[in-house]
Amino acid sequence: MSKNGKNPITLKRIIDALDCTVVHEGGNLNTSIYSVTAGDLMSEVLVVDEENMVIVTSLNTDQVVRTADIVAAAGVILVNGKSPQRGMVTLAESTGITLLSTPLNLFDACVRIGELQKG
Amino acid sequence: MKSIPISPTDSPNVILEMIFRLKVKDVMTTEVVTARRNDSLHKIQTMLKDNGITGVPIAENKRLFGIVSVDDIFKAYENGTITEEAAKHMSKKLVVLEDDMPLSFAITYFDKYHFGRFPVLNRNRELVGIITIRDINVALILGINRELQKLEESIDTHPAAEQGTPKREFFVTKYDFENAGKASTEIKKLLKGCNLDSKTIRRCSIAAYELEMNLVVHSNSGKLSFSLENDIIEIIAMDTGPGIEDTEQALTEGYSTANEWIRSLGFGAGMGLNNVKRVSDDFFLYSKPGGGTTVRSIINIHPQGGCDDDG
Repeated sequence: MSKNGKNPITLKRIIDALDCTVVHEGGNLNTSIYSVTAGDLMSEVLVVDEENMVIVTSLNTDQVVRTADIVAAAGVILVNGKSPQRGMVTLAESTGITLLSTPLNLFDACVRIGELQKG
Repeated sequence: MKSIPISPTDSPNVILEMIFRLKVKDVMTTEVVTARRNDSLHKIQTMLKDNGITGVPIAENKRLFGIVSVDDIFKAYENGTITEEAAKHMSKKLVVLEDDMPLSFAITYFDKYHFGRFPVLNRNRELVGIITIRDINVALILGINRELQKLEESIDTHPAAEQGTPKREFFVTKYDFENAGKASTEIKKLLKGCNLDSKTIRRCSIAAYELEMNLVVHSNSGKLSFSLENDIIEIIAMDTGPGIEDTEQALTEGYSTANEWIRSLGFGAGMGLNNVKRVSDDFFLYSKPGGGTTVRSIINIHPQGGCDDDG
């Protein structure tokens, strides 16, 4: 079922398409995801009124996982091949947030996700 | 000697401990305005007025000869001696305190003599300060403030009320990005244990987190409190400063006073307060520049079950 012309995708498909490293698998990777938010300002993520979204960011701090938990996001994708800080991994483990890392930059990561959504 | 005018059995230990631990020299004013014996009473009246004080010790080379108070000036006007020198009219029967005496002793003296001030001498009988009730009040208030702060820190995240009605208080420290968000995570856990729908949990979590981050980024530290009572969730962020210059502007989307460093950490986009307002059923912001800021967010819920405090 599509929403706003976008097909649901799963974290599993994102992992394949973006060549992601799974840093922490927090939940079901086959859950349907309709919403994706990209950017480094968590304040902007906090205003997105969608549950179960994926956050694509180059920001590598604990607050990214905290924000993901607060908005009940399904996962976080770190771009530019960044390895998450230790605190981020610990937080992802305790909050059940899936944490991924992709070698792609922010723009390319978004383009590929967009292609997945078009189907 | 008469005992101190507060009960040593019923008073809190912290107060008693303070008035016995503090010495007169810890509390007194050391910059003492003094006059000389040959100064005229008229000149001393001007000194009293200019310095906003009610008494001036008459001293030369740290040696204390007497004291001239407002009462002495009144008398001088009555008797027509205002132009005469201090030595003739000063009070010479002086009651003094020593700088090494405990504060409790000074309090006893104020109770016993009803003077507005006592000159303070050191062991060599030199004038080293002056002590007033105001000095004592200020020292005690500051001391109590410090003790309360310690107490508040020690109760940190403990439940603030009886079990059953979830209530929590968290102290949030300025620029403590390491712990920023912990309070909101706790609040979210608590809400999950209350069997609420995911939308309500999300709205409350967002309000709590935005307010917590505001305390970290903008305040001089503050308190985040949460309560759930009668199907109403209340989240309050309260700080003691620095206050908001223009609250209307602060509620304008995109307006932020955060610096680049804070933005590099992912915050300060100028959307926080508005976002709290968006998720709240009722929103209240009070602030004054130089004072504190209080933000209150109310979210109404429809009960779906009881609370499980262990959640």
